[in-house]
Amino acid sequence: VSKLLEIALGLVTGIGGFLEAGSLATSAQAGAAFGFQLVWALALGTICIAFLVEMAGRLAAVSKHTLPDAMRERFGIRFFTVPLIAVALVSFLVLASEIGGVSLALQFATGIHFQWWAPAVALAVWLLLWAHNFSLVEKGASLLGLVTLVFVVASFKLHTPLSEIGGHLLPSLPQQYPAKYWFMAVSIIGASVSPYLFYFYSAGAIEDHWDESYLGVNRIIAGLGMGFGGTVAVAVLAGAAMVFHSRGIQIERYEQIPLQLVQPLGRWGFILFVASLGIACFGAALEIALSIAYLVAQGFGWKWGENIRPRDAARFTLTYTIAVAVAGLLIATGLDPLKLTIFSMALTALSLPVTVVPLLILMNDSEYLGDNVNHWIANAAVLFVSVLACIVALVAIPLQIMGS
Amino acid sequence: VRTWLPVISIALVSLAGCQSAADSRARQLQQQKESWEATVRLTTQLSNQHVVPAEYTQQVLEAAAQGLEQIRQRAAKLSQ
Repeated sequence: VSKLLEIALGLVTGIGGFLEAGSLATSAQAGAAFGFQLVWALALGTICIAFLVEMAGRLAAVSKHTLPDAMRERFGIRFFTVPLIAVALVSFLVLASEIGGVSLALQFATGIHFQWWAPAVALAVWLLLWAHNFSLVEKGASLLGLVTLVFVVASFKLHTPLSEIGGHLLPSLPQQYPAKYWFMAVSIIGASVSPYLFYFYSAGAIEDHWDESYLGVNRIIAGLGMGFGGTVAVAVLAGAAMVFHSRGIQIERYEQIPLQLVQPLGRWGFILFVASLGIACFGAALEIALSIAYLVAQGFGWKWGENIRPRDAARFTLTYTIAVAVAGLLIATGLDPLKLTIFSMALTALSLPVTVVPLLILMNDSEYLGDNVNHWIANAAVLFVSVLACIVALVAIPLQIMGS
Repeated sequence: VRTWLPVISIALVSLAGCQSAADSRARQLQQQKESWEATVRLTTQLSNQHVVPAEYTQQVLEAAAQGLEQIRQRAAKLSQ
């Protein structure tokens, strides 16, 4: 019964926790600009993150090591510094994007400009991390995050043709704006395969005391949870294609995105959009802030854990305090949250080989995994997506910057 | 003539490239302008149906005004 409950909670986490500022903004922007054409990028990103989450959970359950802990032990502190800096930097930018997302939700609800909300949002994130334990942060945020299922409802109300979604599961070349198309594709993959997701998951498995008996649970949560989560992101893209693309509207500002729920759902569409954006980004901000602190503390061998009192893990607490405060200040300067989000996602895609290849090496090391090392299909799928996303990002990011 | 031929060819190709890039930029600006106009139309229509709060309508209209102003400035730069 406890395992079934674990699976149910894991699925809720997968669905409610998948959508955040990055996946919402990139999916909406892609749907508006290219219709259903970029569904393949979402599918590729979802498959890749499902594999990565499963690997992170398996590593924790079998070896009792979190990901940074195992990386530092296996490769040494000097090598570990490279993925540490890469993941911490992109996660910090994504954290700022999430605080921007919550601040924008408050702007839509109150009319007060988002930059005034940023310090209050950062303070609320910090207070919750300071005062509560891991389960409440993870499960509470994800349970509330189920409100994002409204995008699926809206998609049905808009009579989204499923054949259009199915027909674009394979990549196709764009008819116009190739630089923007490929930039959007890597941003979508970056948003889906955010490293904080599998770092957070691995820390969660240790905090929840997983052992080898949880391998089946882990597989179901990673596969189904991420699969359902990816479906919500596809619904955002489909809704944007139906509402915006058909009218020739491109998403240039966050202010435009609520219209995709208002058009099919009326007044409730607006209310539920504000709730979805606020809750999803707030939940993600909690997870990312914790993820940065986990990464640094586990990497340097400090005492860590959301379930222990802040004073007993002072350096861990200080790390998330600094991350949240600086990210809040960045948004308070008035930086455009949409541009920051899209740019952060593209950078995430660019950094994927640095964050993913060490994990793959670990997952093939029988000293850590015993008989549970990776199957070649998992290695090939993750390596292919990561390297492809990185190469495309290397070309598309400069082109997009020059173009705009 | 043979000495100057590659130089003239490169100059002509570059000129054509610049022209085509400028055309593409102008087309992109036109599409962005039409996108903001469509956003304003959709928002006004939903506002008239009283399904969005007045504060939100105002935010979208302000964003559209800023977007259109940026497009006007870029178009002016492009035509110089």
